[in-house]
Amino acid sequence: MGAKKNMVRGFIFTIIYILMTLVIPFMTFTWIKNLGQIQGSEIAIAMDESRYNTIIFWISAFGLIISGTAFFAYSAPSQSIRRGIFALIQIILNCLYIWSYKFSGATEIEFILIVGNEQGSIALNFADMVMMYLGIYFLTIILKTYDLIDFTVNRKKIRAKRRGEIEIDNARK
Amino acid sequence: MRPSRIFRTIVRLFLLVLTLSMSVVSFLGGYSAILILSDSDNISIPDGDINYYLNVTDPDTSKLFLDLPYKVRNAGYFDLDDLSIEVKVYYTFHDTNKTNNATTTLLLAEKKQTFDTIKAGETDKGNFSMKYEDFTNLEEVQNRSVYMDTTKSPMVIYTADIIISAKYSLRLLSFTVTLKNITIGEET
Repeated sequence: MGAKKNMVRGFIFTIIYILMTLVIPFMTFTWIKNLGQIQGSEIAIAMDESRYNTIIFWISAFGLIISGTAFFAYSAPSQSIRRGIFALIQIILNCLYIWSYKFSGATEIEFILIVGNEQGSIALNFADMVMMYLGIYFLTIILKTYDLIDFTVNRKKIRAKRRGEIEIDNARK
Repeated sequence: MRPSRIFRTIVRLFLLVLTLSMSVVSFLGGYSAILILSDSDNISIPDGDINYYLNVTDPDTSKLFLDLPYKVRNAGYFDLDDLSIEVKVYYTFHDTNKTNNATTTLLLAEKKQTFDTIKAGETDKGNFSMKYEDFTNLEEVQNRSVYMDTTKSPMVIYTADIIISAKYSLRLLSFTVTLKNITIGEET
């Protein structure tokens, strides 16, 4: 694949990661925060402003770093050591991003509940779900480490194959 | 194809299936939580009239009881596991031992009850019953109630805190609903 194609792919994946790690979580938490009165019931729920700000801060911080590294990971040539290193960095950052949901309080959301004249709260806890995702990411770390070792050990073979492909492309042109 | 690439493809496919199934479980779990919590009719406590006899001044304390009807409807896609209801009953009266006969609130009884799994789409209806043995703080309430200002009406207000908790989405998501200061009844 040519350098231009690699750059375009890098940009496309950066946009995908911006949507997945920044835009969608931001919209979801803003929607949750503004739920207010539940339609057709006396129940009104509200999210604490400071907790919302903390969650959004950590999501933005890690989301930006992940989106940035996504460009370097996906614009690198396929099976290159650069791709391997950035893919591994990105997956570790993804783990931190998922973990940030836990320490920012996003996995233990508490709403103030108002039913008529009475007050209470609804607390949702999905820390176990986050731990499950971290398990999947741990397997991905193993895979990416294996990728990196494989790309380094078989460096000559991969390069020769890539050169051969380029020569075939040039011959066709 | 190199054996390492075949191995990588297999592991990648496995991770893809795992991530996709987790995403489906997360989405359906979140959607189900909204379905259950957005309709006040799904978790209805108390579901009807509360029957009680809470007169702590009666020498026959074995008569004390509280029956709280409840209804929990699982409107989501997964089973509702580890459902528990905890009720704390409080006794509030005007205290002659305090300045301006300010009110005193004492914990009278507390009980936590766990229930069987409620399957998706099913409804569990029943009675949360508190008996004499659940009135753990009876002695203190009896001792303090001698300072009750009997000229006030109502003399005693019975209130309750209700805590409902359960696990959802293959036990990966848990929720707790707390209702505070629900008036059960009064004594004039």
